[in-house]
Amino acid sequence: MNSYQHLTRAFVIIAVLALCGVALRGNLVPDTFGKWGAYRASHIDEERARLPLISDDDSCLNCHETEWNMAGGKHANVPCMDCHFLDGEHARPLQGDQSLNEFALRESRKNSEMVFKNLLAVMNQGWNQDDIERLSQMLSQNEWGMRVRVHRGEPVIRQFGEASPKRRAPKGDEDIRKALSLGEESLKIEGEKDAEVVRYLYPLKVEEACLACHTKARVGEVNGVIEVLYPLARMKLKMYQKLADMPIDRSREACQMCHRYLNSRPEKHPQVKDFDEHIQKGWKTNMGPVDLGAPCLRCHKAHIPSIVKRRDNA
Amino acid sequence: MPDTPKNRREFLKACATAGAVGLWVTLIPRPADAQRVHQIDPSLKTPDWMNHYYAYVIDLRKCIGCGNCVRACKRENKVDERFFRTWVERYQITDDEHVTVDSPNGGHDGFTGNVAQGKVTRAFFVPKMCNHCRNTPCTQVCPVHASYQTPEGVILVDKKRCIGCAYCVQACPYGSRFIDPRTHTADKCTWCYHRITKGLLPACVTVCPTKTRRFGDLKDENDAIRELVYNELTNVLKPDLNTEPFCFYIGFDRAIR
Repeated sequence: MNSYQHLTRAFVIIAVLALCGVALRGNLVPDTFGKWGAYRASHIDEERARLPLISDDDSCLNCHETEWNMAGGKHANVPCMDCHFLDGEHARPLQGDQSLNEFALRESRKNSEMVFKNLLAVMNQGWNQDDIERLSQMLSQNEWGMRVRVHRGEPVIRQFGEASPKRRAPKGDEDIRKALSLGEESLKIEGEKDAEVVRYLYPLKVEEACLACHTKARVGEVNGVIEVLYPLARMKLKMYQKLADMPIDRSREACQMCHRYLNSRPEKHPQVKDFDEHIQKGWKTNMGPVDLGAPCLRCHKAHIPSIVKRRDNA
Repeated sequence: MPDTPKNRREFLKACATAGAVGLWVTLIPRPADAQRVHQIDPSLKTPDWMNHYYAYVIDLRKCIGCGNCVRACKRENKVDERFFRTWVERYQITDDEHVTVDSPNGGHDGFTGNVAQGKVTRAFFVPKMCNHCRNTPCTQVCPVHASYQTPEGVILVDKKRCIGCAYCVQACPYGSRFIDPRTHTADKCTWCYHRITKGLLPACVTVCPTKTRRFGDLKDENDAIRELVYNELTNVLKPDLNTEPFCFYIGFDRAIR
Protein backbone atom coordinates (compact mmCIF):
# COMPACT_ATOMS: atom_id res chain seq x y z
CA MET A 1 0.00 0.00 0.00
CA ASN A 2 2.80 2.32 0.96
CA SER A 3 4.36 1.92 -2.45
CA TYR A 4 1.39 3.86 -4.03
CA GLN A 5 1.51 6.75 -1.59
CA HIS A 6 3.54 9.01 -3.91
CA LEU A 7 0.96 8.44 -6.69
CA THR A 8 -2.09 9.22 -4.57
CA ARG A 9 -0.43 12.32 -3.21
CA ALA A 10 0.32 13.56 -6.74
CA PHE A 11 -3.22 12.75 -7.82
CA VAL A 12 -4.75 14.67 -4.91
CA ILE A 13 -2.57 17.69 -5.56
CA ILE A 14 -3.45 17.68 -9.28
CA ALA A 15 -7.16 17.27 -8.49
CA VAL A 16 -7.11 20.16 -6.01
CA LEU A 17 -5.25 22.38 -8.47
CA ALA A 18 -7.70 21.47 -11.25
CA LEU A 19 -10.68 22.28 -9.03
CA CYS A 20 -9.11 25.58 -8.08
CA GLY A 21 -8.50 26.26 -11.76
CA VAL A 22 -12.17 25.61 -12.54
CA ALA A 23 -13.24 27.89 -9.69
CA LEU A 24 -10.85 30.60 -10.82
CA ARG A 25 -12.12 30.40 -14.39
CA GLY A 26 -15.73 30.57 -13.19
CA ASN A 27 -14.87 33.78 -11.41
CA LEU A 28 -12.99 35.47 -14.20
CA VAL A 29 -15.16 34.57 -17.20
CA PRO A 30 -18.37 36.64 -17.38
CA ASP A 31 -21.75 34.85 -17.34
CA THR A 32 -22.74 35.26 -20.96
CA PHE A 33 -19.26 34.98 -22.42
CA GLY A 34 -19.14 32.56 -25.34
CA LYS A 35 -22.89 32.32 -25.86
CA TRP A 36 -22.63 33.66 -29.40
CA GLY A 37 -18.90 34.00 -29.84
CA ALA A 38 -15.71 34.92 -28.02
CA TYR A 39 -17.26 37.93 -26.31
CA ARG A 40 -19.74 38.87 -23.58
CA ALA A 41 -23.14 38.28 -25.18
CA SER A 42 -24.98 40.59 -22.79
CA HIS A 43 -22.97 43.51 -24.16
CA ILE A 44 -24.98 43.18 -27.38
CA ASP A 45 -28.17 43.68 -25.36
CA GLU A 46 -26.69 46.61 -23.47
CA GLU A 47 -25.68 48.26 -26.73
CA ARG A 48 -29.09 47.62 -28.30
CA ALA A 49 -30.94 48.95 -25.26
CA ARG A 50 -29.42 52.44 -25.61
CA LEU A 51 -31.94 55.11 -26.60
CA PRO A 52 -31.33 57.08 -29.79
CA LEU A 53 -30.89 60.81 -29.34
CA ILE A 54 -30.78 62.41 -32.79
CA SER A 55 -34.24 62.44 -34.36
CA ASP A 56 -34.75 61.40 -37.91
CA ASP A 57 -37.23 63.30 -40.04
CA ASP A 58 -39.94 60.71 -39.50
CA SER A 59 -40.00 61.40 -35.78
CA CYS A 60 -40.32 65.14 -36.46
CA LEU A 61 -43.27 64.35 -38.72
CA ASN A 62 -45.04 62.63 -35.84
CA CYS A 63 -45.85 65.95 -34.20
CA HIS A 64 -44.88 68.68 -36.65
CA GLU A 65 -47.01 67.70 -39.60
CA THR A 66 -47.89 71.30 -40.45
CA GLU A 67 -44.29 72.42 -40.60
CA TRP A 68 -43.42 69.29 -42.52
CA ASN A 69 -45.84 70.19 -45.30
CA MET A 70 -44.47 73.71 -45.45
CA ALA A 71 -40.82 72.79 -45.68
CA GLY A 72 -39.96 73.18 -49.29
CA GLY A 73 -37.77 74.92 -51.77
CA LYS A 74 -34.07 74.25 -51.83
CA HIS A 75 -34.10 73.02 -48.25
CA ALA A 76 -36.76 70.40 -48.84
CA ASN A 77 -34.29 67.54 -48.59
CA VAL A 78 -32.20 68.94 -45.76
CA PRO A 79 -32.86 66.97 -42.58
CA CYS A 80 -34.70 68.95 -39.88
CA MET A 81 -31.96 68.34 -37.35
CA ASP A 82 -29.36 70.20 -39.40
CA CYS A 83 -30.80 73.57 -38.44
CA HIS A 84 -33.01 72.63 -35.48
CA PHE A 85 -30.29 71.15 -33.37
CA LEU A 86 -32.62 70.41 -30.51
CA ASP A 87 -31.91 69.39 -26.98
CA GLY A 88 -31.86 65.70 -26.32
CA GLU A 89 -35.00 65.80 -24.22
CA HIS A 90 -37.08 67.25 -27.00
CA ALA A 91 -35.67 65.02 -29.65
CA ARG A 92 -36.42 61.59 -28.30
CA PRO A 93 -37.34 59.63 -31.38
CA LEU A 94 -39.49 56.50 -31.27
CA GLN A 95 -41.77 58.16 -28.76
CA GLY A 96 -43.47 60.57 -31.11
CA ASP A 97 -46.56 61.27 -29.05
CA GLN A 98 -44.75 61.52 -25.79
CA SER A 99 -43.80 65.17 -26.04
CA LEU A 100 -47.42 66.10 -26.76
CA ASN A 101 -48.55 63.90 -23.89
CA GLU A 102 -46.14 65.54 -21.52
CA PHE A 103 -47.19 68.98 -22.66
CA ALA A 104 -50.89 68.09 -22.31
CA LEU A 105 -50.29 66.65 -18.86
CA ARG A 106 -48.45 69.75 -17.67
CA GLU A 107 -51.03 72.07 -19.17
CA SER A 108 -54.03 70.14 -17.78
CA ARG A 109 -52.47 69.84 -14.36
CA LYS A 110 -51.93 73.59 -14.32
CA ASN A 111 -55.58 74.19 -15.28
CA SER A 112 -56.83 71.79 -12.62
CA GLU A 113 -54.78 73.46 -9.94
CA MET A 114 -56.20 76.79 -11.00
CA VAL A 115 -59.72 75.35 -10.76
CA PHE A 116 -58.99 73.98 -7.31
CA LYS A 117 -57.63 77.33 -6.09
CA ASN A 118 -60.81 78.98 -7.33
CA LEU A 119 -62.89 76.34 -5.60
CA LEU A 120 -60.98 76.85 -2.39
CA ALA A 121 -61.73 80.56 -2.50
CA VAL A 122 -65.47 79.97 -2.83
CA MET A 123 -65.41 77.07 -0.37
CA ASN A 124 -64.35 79.37 2.46
CA GLN A 125 -67.39 81.57 1.87
CA GLY A 126 -69.78 78.68 1.62
CA TRP A 127 -70.92 77.76 -1.84
CA ASN A 128 -73.25 75.63 -3.84
CA GLN A 129 -73.05 73.67 -7.03
CA ASP A 130 -74.11 76.60 -9.16
CA ASP A 131 -70.88 78.31 -8.23
CA ILE A 132 -68.92 75.50 -9.83
CA GLU A 133 -71.15 75.71 -12.88
CA ARG A 134 -70.41 79.42 -13.17
CA LEU A 135 -66.68 78.84 -12.67
CA SER A 136 -66.68 76.21 -15.38
CA GLN A 137 -68.43 78.59 -17.78
CA MET A 138 -66.00 81.35 -16.95
CA LEU A 139 -63.03 79.12 -17.64
CA SER A 140 -64.56 77.93 -20.89
CA GLN A 141 -64.82 81.52 -22.04
CA ASN A 142 -61.28 82.21 -21.04
CA GLU A 143 -59.84 79.07 -22.58
CA TRP A 144 -61.92 78.31 -25.62
CA GLY A 145 -63.21 74.76 -25.70
CA MET A 146 -62.15 73.85 -22.17
CA ARG A 147 -64.81 72.16 -20.05
CA VAL A 148 -64.52 71.53 -16.31
CA ARG A 149 -66.53 69.16 -14.18
CA VAL A 150 -66.13 68.34 -10.50
CA HIS A 151 -67.13 64.95 -9.13
CA ARG A 152 -67.77 64.26 -5.46
CA GLY A 153 -65.76 61.67 -3.60
CA GLU A 154 -66.79 59.29 -0.85
CA PRO A 155 -65.93 61.56 2.14
CA VAL A 156 -67.88 64.53 0.71
CA ILE A 157 -70.90 62.36 -0.04
CA ARG A 158 -70.76 61.08 3.54
CA GLN A 159 -70.86 64.61 4.90
CA PHE A 160 -72.94 66.60 2.41
CA GLY A 161 -74.85 63.95 0.46
CA GLU A 162 -74.92 63.04 -3.22
CA ALA A 163 -74.69 65.64 -5.96
CA SER A 164 -77.85 66.40 -7.93
CA PRO A 165 -78.47 63.65 -10.48
CA LYS A 166 -77.70 65.73 -13.57
CA ARG A 167 -74.23 66.58 -12.24
CA ARG A 168 -73.35 63.07 -11.16
CA ALA A 169 -70.72 61.20 -13.15
CA PRO A 170 -72.12 58.46 -15.41
CA LYS A 171 -72.28 55.17 -13.49
CA GLY A 172 -70.05 53.12 -15.75
CA ASP A 173 -67.19 55.62 -15.96
CA GLU A 174 -64.25 53.43 -15.12
CA ASP A 175 -61.66 56.25 -15.15
CA ILE A 176 -63.52 58.40 -12.64
CA ARG A 177 -64.16 55.41 -10.40
CA LYS A 178 -60.43 54.63 -10.49
CA ALA A 179 -59.44 58.23 -9.78
CA LEU A 180 -61.85 58.36 -6.84
CA SER A 181 -60.81 55.07 -5.32
CA LEU A 182 -57.07 55.06 -6.03
CA GLY A 183 -56.35 58.79 -6.23
CA GLU A 184 -54.42 58.48 -9.50
CA GLU A 185 -54.38 61.24 -12.07
CA SER A 186 -54.99 60.17 -15.64
CA LEU A 187 -54.67 61.62 -19.12
CA LYS A 188 -56.47 60.17 -22.11
CA ILE A 189 -57.22 61.20 -25.65
CA GLU A 190 -60.84 60.34 -26.46
CA GLY A 191 -63.39 60.98 -29.16
CA GLU A 192 -63.64 60.55 -32.90
CA LYS A 193 -60.98 61.42 -35.42
CA ASP A 194 -60.48 65.16 -35.93
CA ALA A 195 -62.63 65.88 -32.86
CA GLU A 196 -60.47 64.31 -30.20
CA VAL A 197 -60.55 65.60 -26.68
CA VAL A 198 -57.84 65.46 -24.06
CA ARG A 199 -59.45 64.24 -20.87
CA TYR A 200 -57.58 64.81 -17.65
CA LEU A 201 -58.62 63.72 -14.17
CA TYR A 202 -57.13 65.46 -11.16
CA PRO A 203 -57.86 63.75 -7.82
CA LEU A 204 -58.14 66.00 -4.77
CA LYS A 205 -56.45 64.16 -1.95
CA VAL A 206 -57.35 65.07 1.62
CA GLU A 207 -54.65 66.91 3.51
CA GLU A 208 -54.50 68.22 7.08
CA ALA A 209 -55.84 71.63 6.04
CA CYS A 210 -59.01 70.11 4.56
CA LEU A 211 -60.00 68.47 7.84
CA ALA A 212 -61.09 71.78 9.38
CA CYS A 213 -64.29 71.72 7.32
CA HIS A 214 -64.37 68.17 5.92
CA THR A 215 -64.82 66.63 9.33
CA LYS A 216 -65.76 63.19 8.06
CA ALA A 217 -62.74 62.83 5.79
CA ARG A 218 -59.44 61.18 6.62
CA VAL A 219 -55.99 62.22 5.36
CA GLY A 220 -55.13 60.36 2.15
CA GLU A 221 -58.73 59.82 1.04
CA VAL A 222 -59.97 61.37 -2.19
CA ASN A 223 -62.45 64.20 -1.66
CA GLY A 224 -63.29 64.53 -5.32
CA VAL A 225 -62.02 64.63 -8.87
CA ILE A 226 -61.64 67.62 -11.17
CA GLU A 227 -62.24 66.64 -14.77
CA VAL A 228 -60.80 68.89 -17.47
CA LEU A 229 -61.70 68.37 -21.12
CA TYR A 230 -59.73 70.16 -23.79
CA PRO A 231 -59.86 69.80 -27.60
CA LEU A 232 -56.76 68.02 -28.89
CA ALA A 233 -56.36 70.37 -31.84
CA ARG A 234 -56.23 73.37 -29.50
CA MET A 235 -53.75 71.57 -27.30
CA LYS A 236 -51.49 70.96 -30.30
CA LEU A 237 -51.76 74.58 -31.38
CA LYS A 238 -50.85 75.68 -27.88
CA MET A 239 -47.80 73.48 -27.98
CA TYR A 240 -46.71 74.95 -31.31
CA GLN A 241 -47.06 78.42 -29.85
CA LYS A 242 -44.90 77.39 -26.91
CA LEU A 243 -42.30 76.27 -29.41
CA ALA A 244 -42.36 79.63 -31.16
CA ASP A 245 -38.93 80.22 -29.73
CA MET A 246 -37.73 77.16 -31.63
CA PRO A 247 -34.33 76.10 -30.47
CA ILE A 248 -32.92 76.86 -33.90
CA ASP A 249 -29.29 77.84 -33.83
CA ARG A 250 -29.89 81.58 -33.81
CA SER A 251 -26.82 82.72 -35.58
CA ARG A 252 -25.57 82.98 -39.06
CA GLU A 253 -23.20 80.16 -38.23
CA ALA A 254 -26.06 77.72 -38.56
CA CYS A 255 -26.40 78.73 -42.22
CA GLN A 256 -22.70 79.12 -42.74
CA MET A 257 -21.98 75.54 -41.77
CA CYS A 258 -23.15 74.53 -45.21
CA HIS A 259 -22.89 77.88 -47.00
CA ARG A 260 -19.40 78.47 -45.75
CA TYR A 261 -18.02 80.46 -48.69
CA LEU A 262 -20.13 83.51 -47.92
CA ASN A 263 -17.10 85.52 -46.92
CA SER A 264 -14.58 84.11 -49.33
CA ARG A 265 -16.82 84.32 -52.40
CA PRO A 266 -18.01 87.93 -52.64
CA GLU A 267 -19.02 87.50 -56.27
CA LYS A 268 -21.82 85.24 -55.06
CA HIS A 269 -23.13 87.93 -52.71
CA PRO A 270 -22.46 91.25 -54.46
CA GLN A 271 -24.81 93.08 -52.13
CA VAL A 272 -23.01 91.71 -49.05
CA LYS A 273 -19.56 93.30 -49.22
CA ASP A 274 -18.57 92.88 -45.64
CA PHE A 275 -20.66 90.36 -43.79
CA ASP A 276 -20.08 91.76 -40.32
CA GLU A 277 -20.85 95.29 -41.46
CA HIS A 278 -23.92 93.93 -43.19
CA ILE A 279 -25.17 92.49 -39.94
CA GLN A 280 -24.47 95.58 -37.87
CA LYS A 281 -26.04 98.03 -40.29
CA GLY A 282 -29.13 95.98 -40.84
CA TRP A 283 -30.75 94.91 -44.06
CA LYS A 284 -33.95 95.07 -45.96
CA THR A 285 -36.79 94.25 -43.62
CA ASN A 286 -39.40 93.54 -46.21
CA MET A 287 -40.69 90.70 -44.10
CA GLY A 288 -42.53 92.81 -41.60
CA PRO A 289 -42.06 92.50 -37.88
CA VAL A 290 -40.69 88.97 -38.08
CA ASP A 291 -37.52 88.68 -36.08
CA LEU A 292 -36.06 85.23 -35.94
CA GLY A 293 -32.65 86.17 -34.70
CA ALA A 294 -30.81 84.41 -37.49
CA PRO A 295 -29.54 87.15 -39.83
CA CYS A 296 -29.55 85.03 -43.00
CA LEU A 297 -33.20 84.14 -42.52
CA ARG A 298 -34.26 87.76 -42.77
CA CYS A 299 -33.60 87.85 -46.48
CA HIS A 300 -33.45 84.20 -47.34
CA LYS A 301 -36.68 82.44 -46.51
CA ALA A 302 -36.29 79.06 -45.00
CA HIS A 303 -39.63 77.43 -44.31
CA ILE A 304 -39.99 79.20 -40.98
CA PRO A 305 -41.58 82.59 -41.88
CA SER A 306 -44.62 80.90 -43.35
CA ILE A 307 -45.26 79.19 -40.02
CA VAL A 308 -45.25 82.48 -38.18
CA LYS A 309 -47.70 83.84 -40.71
CA ARG A 310 -49.99 80.88 -40.26
CA ARG A 311 -49.95 81.25 -36.52
CA ASP A 312 -50.88 84.92 -36.73
CA ASN A 313 -53.90 84.05 -38.82
CA ALA A 314 -55.09 81.34 -36.50
CA MET B 1 -7.12 28.39 20.62
CA PRO B 2 -6.95 24.90 19.17
CA ASP B 3 -7.22 26.09 15.54
CA THR B 4 -4.24 28.38 15.68
CA PRO B 5 -1.52 27.00 13.36
CA LYS B 6 1.55 25.89 15.25
CA ASN B 7 4.08 26.09 12.49
CA ARG B 8 4.60 27.39 8.98
CA ARG B 9 3.45 24.19 7.25
CA GLU B 10 0.12 24.17 9.04
CA PHE B 11 -0.32 27.89 8.48
CA LEU B 12 0.21 27.51 4.71
CA LYS B 13 -2.14 24.51 4.64
CA ALA B 14 -4.85 26.51 6.40
CA CYS B 15 -4.35 29.42 4.01
CA ALA B 16 -4.63 27.15 0.95
CA THR B 17 -7.80 25.51 2.27
CA ALA B 18 -9.38 28.84 3.10
CA GLY B 19 -8.47 30.17 -0.34
CA ALA B 20 -9.91 27.15 -2.16
CA VAL B 21 -13.13 27.28 -0.13
CA GLY B 22 -13.40 31.02 -0.71
CA LEU B 23 -13.04 30.58 -4.47
CA TRP B 24 -15.86 28.08 -4.56
CA VAL B 25 -18.09 30.25 -2.42
CA THR B 26 -17.78 33.07 -4.95
CA LEU B 27 -19.11 30.71 -7.62
CA ILE B 28 -22.52 30.55 -5.94
CA PRO B 29 -24.74 32.77 -8.13
CA ARG B 30 -25.82 35.93 -6.37
CA PRO B 31 -29.40 37.14 -6.89
CA ALA B 32 -28.10 40.56 -7.97
CA ASP B 33 -26.19 39.00 -10.88
CA ALA B 34 -29.18 37.09 -12.12
CA GLN B 35 -31.28 40.24 -11.97
CA ARG B 36 -28.74 42.27 -13.90
CA VAL B 37 -28.95 39.96 -16.89
CA HIS B 38 -32.74 39.96 -17.02
CA GLN B 39 -33.27 43.67 -16.51
CA ILE B 40 -32.72 44.24 -20.20
CA ASP B 41 -35.74 44.29 -22.48
CA PRO B 42 -36.50 40.64 -23.29
CA SER B 43 -37.56 41.52 -26.82
CA LEU B 44 -33.97 42.48 -27.54
CA LYS B 45 -32.74 39.05 -26.54
CA THR B 46 -32.91 37.39 -29.93
CA PRO B 47 -30.94 39.35 -32.48
CA ASP B 48 -31.99 38.52 -36.04
CA TRP B 49 -28.52 39.33 -37.19
CA MET B 50 -28.13 36.55 -39.69
CA ASN B 51 -30.50 38.46 -42.01
CA HIS B 52 -28.33 41.58 -42.11
CA TYR B 53 -24.95 42.63 -43.36
CA TYR B 54 -24.44 46.34 -43.25
CA ALA B 55 -22.43 48.55 -45.57
CA TYR B 56 -21.61 52.24 -45.63
CA VAL B 57 -21.09 54.33 -48.74
CA ILE B 58 -19.51 57.79 -48.83
CA ASP B 59 -19.91 59.78 -52.03
CA LEU B 60 -16.96 62.18 -51.96
CA ARG B 61 -18.32 64.20 -54.88
CA LYS B 62 -21.19 65.38 -52.70
CA CYS B 63 -19.50 66.26 -49.41
CA ILE B 64 -19.53 69.99 -48.65
CA GLY B 65 -17.69 69.74 -45.34
CA CYS B 66 -20.46 71.19 -43.21
CA GLY B 67 -19.53 69.05 -40.21
CA ASN B 68 -23.10 68.16 -39.30
CA CYS B 69 -22.12 64.49 -39.11
CA VAL B 70 -19.30 65.19 -36.68
CA ARG B 71 -21.55 67.23 -34.42
CA ALA B 72 -24.38 64.71 -34.59
CA CYS B 73 -22.03 61.85 -33.73
CA LYS B 74 -20.66 63.72 -30.73
CA ARG B 75 -24.16 64.35 -29.41
CA GLU B 76 -25.55 60.94 -30.16
CA ASN B 77 -22.69 58.98 -28.64
CA LYS B 78 -21.50 61.51 -26.05
CA VAL B 79 -17.97 61.33 -27.43
CA ASP B 80 -15.21 63.06 -25.49
CA GLU B 81 -14.60 66.52 -26.95
CA ARG B 82 -10.93 65.81 -27.63
CA PHE B 83 -11.61 62.74 -29.79
CA PHE B 84 -13.75 61.78 -32.76
CA ARG B 85 -15.60 58.68 -33.83
CA THR B 86 -16.02 60.25 -37.22
CA TRP B 87 -14.20 63.23 -38.65
CA VAL B 88 -13.87 65.12 -41.92
CA GLU B 89 -10.54 65.80 -43.62
CA ARG B 90 -9.98 68.47 -46.24
CA TYR B 91 -7.60 67.66 -49.08
CA GLN B 92 -6.11 70.48 -51.09
CA ILE B 93 -3.83 69.54 -53.97
CA THR B 94 -1.74 72.15 -55.73
CA ASP B 95 -0.61 72.11 -59.36
CA ASP B 96 2.73 70.53 -58.36
CA GLU B 97 0.78 67.61 -56.81
CA HIS B 98 1.60 68.68 -53.29
CA VAL B 99 -1.12 67.39 -50.96
CA THR B 100 -2.19 69.38 -47.91
CA VAL B 101 -4.57 67.71 -45.49
CA ASP B 102 -6.20 69.47 -42.57
CA SER B 103 -9.02 68.70 -40.20
CA PRO B 104 -9.45 71.55 -37.68
CA ASN B 105 -11.23 70.09 -34.66
CA GLY B 106 -12.17 67.11 -36.81
CA GLY B 107 -14.34 69.32 -39.00
CA HIS B 108 -16.63 69.88 -36.00
CA ASP B 109 -16.80 73.64 -36.60
CA GLY B 110 -16.58 73.56 -40.37
CA PHE B 111 -13.67 74.74 -42.47
CA THR B 112 -12.44 78.26 -43.16
CA GLY B 113 -9.76 79.74 -45.40
CA ASN B 114 -7.11 78.02 -47.46
CA VAL B 115 -4.26 76.11 -45.90
CA ALA B 116 -2.46 75.03 -49.07
CA GLN B 117 0.45 77.07 -50.45
CA GLY B 118 0.23 77.73 -54.17
CA LYS B 119 -2.43 77.23 -56.78
CA VAL B 120 -4.99 74.66 -55.65
CA THR B 121 -6.16 72.49 -58.53
CA ARG B 122 -8.21 69.91 -56.66
CA ALA B 123 -9.92 70.22 -53.30
CA PHE B 124 -12.39 67.91 -51.64
CA PHE B 125 -13.56 66.62 -48.28
CA VAL B 126 -13.09 63.08 -47.05
CA PRO B 127 -15.28 61.95 -44.14
CA LYS B 128 -13.56 59.19 -42.21
CA MET B 129 -14.66 56.75 -39.56
CA CYS B 130 -14.32 53.12 -38.58
CA ASN B 131 -14.35 51.11 -41.80
CA HIS B 132 -15.88 48.04 -40.14
CA CYS B 133 -13.52 45.68 -41.91
CA ARG B 134 -14.50 42.09 -42.47
CA ASN B 135 -10.92 41.02 -41.81
CA THR B 136 -10.36 43.11 -38.72
CA PRO B 137 -6.88 43.77 -37.36
CA CYS B 138 -8.24 45.41 -34.22
CA THR B 139 -10.35 42.54 -32.87
CA GLN B 140 -7.58 40.06 -33.57
CA VAL B 141 -5.15 41.73 -31.19
CA CYS B 142 -7.57 42.23 -28.28
CA PRO B 143 -6.22 40.14 -25.39
CA VAL B 144 -9.52 40.03 -23.44
CA HIS B 145 -12.04 39.71 -26.31
CA ALA B 146 -13.52 43.09 -25.48
CA SER B 147 -13.51 44.03 -29.14
CA TYR B 148 -15.47 41.78 -31.44
CA GLN B 149 -17.43 41.56 -34.65
CA THR B 150 -21.14 40.78 -34.76
CA PRO B 151 -22.48 38.62 -37.60
CA GLU B 152 -23.92 41.81 -39.11
CA GLY B 153 -20.41 43.09 -39.71
CA VAL B 154 -20.38 45.67 -36.93
CA ILE B 155 -17.31 45.97 -34.73
CA LEU B 156 -18.15 46.73 -31.11
CA VAL B 157 -16.15 47.39 -27.96
CA ASP B 158 -17.34 45.99 -24.65
CA LYS B 159 -16.32 48.79 -22.30
CA LYS B 160 -16.84 46.70 -19.19
CA ARG B 161 -14.37 44.14 -20.47
CA CYS B 162 -11.80 46.47 -22.05
CA ILE B 163 -8.63 46.93 -20.04
CA GLY B 164 -7.43 49.94 -22.02
CA CYS B 165 -4.20 48.34 -23.28
CA ALA B 166 -4.55 50.24 -26.59
CA TYR B 167 -3.30 47.38 -28.75
CA CYS B 168 -6.33 47.88 -30.98
CA VAL B 169 -5.60 51.60 -31.29
CA GLN B 170 -2.20 50.68 -32.69
CA ALA B 171 -3.55 47.87 -34.83
CA CYS B 172 -6.19 49.94 -36.64
CA PRO B 173 -4.64 51.20 -39.89
CA TYR B 174 -7.28 53.92 -40.24
CA GLY B 175 -6.76 55.61 -36.88
CA SER B 176 -10.42 55.28 -36.05
CA ARG B 177 -9.94 54.06 -32.49
CA PHE B 178 -8.94 56.01 -29.43
CA ILE B 179 -8.73 55.59 -25.70
CA ASP B 180 -11.56 57.48 -24.06
CA PRO B 181 -9.84 59.59 -21.38
CA ARG B 182 -12.93 59.46 -19.16
CA THR B 183 -13.25 55.68 -18.94
CA HIS B 184 -9.71 54.67 -20.03
CA THR B 185 -11.20 52.16 -22.47
CA ALA B 186 -11.12 51.91 -26.23
CA ASP B 187 -13.87 53.71 -28.11
CA LYS B 188 -14.85 53.78 -31.75
CA CYS B 189 -17.68 54.19 -34.23
CA THR B 190 -20.35 51.49 -33.86
CA TRP B 191 -22.38 52.56 -36.91
CA CYS B 192 -24.80 53.61 -34.15
CA TYR B 193 -25.60 49.97 -33.39
CA HIS B 194 -28.39 51.04 -31.00
CA ARG B 195 -30.06 52.93 -33.85
CA ILE B 196 -29.63 50.54 -36.75
CA THR B 197 -31.00 47.62 -34.75
CA LYS B 198 -34.14 49.72 -34.18
CA GLY B 199 -34.53 50.41 -37.90
CA LEU B 200 -33.06 53.93 -37.77
CA LEU B 201 -30.05 55.17 -39.69
CA PRO B 202 -26.79 56.09 -37.96
CA ALA B 203 -26.81 59.66 -36.62
CA CYS B 204 -24.28 60.90 -39.18
CA VAL B 205 -26.33 59.54 -42.09
CA THR B 206 -29.53 60.99 -40.63
CA VAL B 207 -28.22 64.55 -40.59
CA CYS B 208 -26.23 64.56 -43.84
CA PRO B 209 -27.84 67.32 -45.96
CA THR B 210 -26.36 66.21 -49.29
CA LYS B 211 -26.74 62.44 -48.89
CA THR B 212 -22.99 62.02 -49.02
CA ARG B 213 -23.21 59.38 -46.36
CA ARG B 214 -25.38 56.39 -47.14
CA PHE B 215 -26.00 53.33 -45.03
CA GLY B 216 -27.86 50.14 -45.70
CA ASP B 217 -28.25 46.42 -45.48
CA LEU B 218 -26.61 44.37 -48.22
CA LYS B 219 -28.85 41.39 -47.48
CA ASP B 220 -32.01 43.44 -48.03
CA GLU B 221 -32.85 43.19 -51.72
CA ASN B 222 -34.81 46.45 -51.76
CA ASP B 223 -32.09 48.50 -50.12
CA ALA B 224 -30.62 51.23 -52.32
CA ILE B 225 -27.18 50.55 -50.88
CA ARG B 226 -26.89 47.37 -52.98
CA GLU B 227 -27.17 49.44 -56.14
CA LEU B 228 -24.30 51.65 -54.97
CA VAL B 229 -22.00 48.93 -53.68
CA TYR B 230 -22.45 46.52 -56.57
CA ASN B 231 -22.88 48.87 -59.54
CA GLU B 232 -20.93 52.03 -58.74
CA LEU B 233 -17.17 52.39 -59.11
CA THR B 234 -16.10 52.31 -55.49
CA ASN B 235 -12.85 52.19 -53.64
CA VAL B 236 -11.83 51.51 -50.07
CA LEU B 237 -9.12 53.02 -47.92
CA LYS B 238 -5.82 51.13 -47.97
CA PRO B 239 -7.00 48.14 -50.04
CA ASP B 240 -3.45 46.74 -50.02
CA LEU B 241 -3.81 45.79 -46.34
CA ASN B 242 -6.54 43.23 -47.15
CA THR B 243 -8.67 44.36 -44.27
CA GLU B 244 -11.79 44.19 -46.51
CA PRO B 245 -13.50 47.36 -45.28
CA PHE B 246 -17.25 47.69 -45.69
CA CYS B 247 -17.06 51.44 -45.91
CA PHE B 248 -16.97 52.26 -49.61
CA TYR B 249 -15.97 55.54 -51.23
CA ILE B 250 -17.35 56.86 -54.51
CA GLY B 251 -15.40 59.55 -56.34
CA PHE B 252 -12.13 58.46 -54.81
CA ASP B 253 -9.00 60.47 -55.53
CA ARG B 254 -5.50 59.05 -55.87
CA ALA B 255 -4.23 61.48 -53.25
CA ILE B 256 -6.41 60.07 -50.46
CA ARG B 257 -4.48 58.21 -47.79
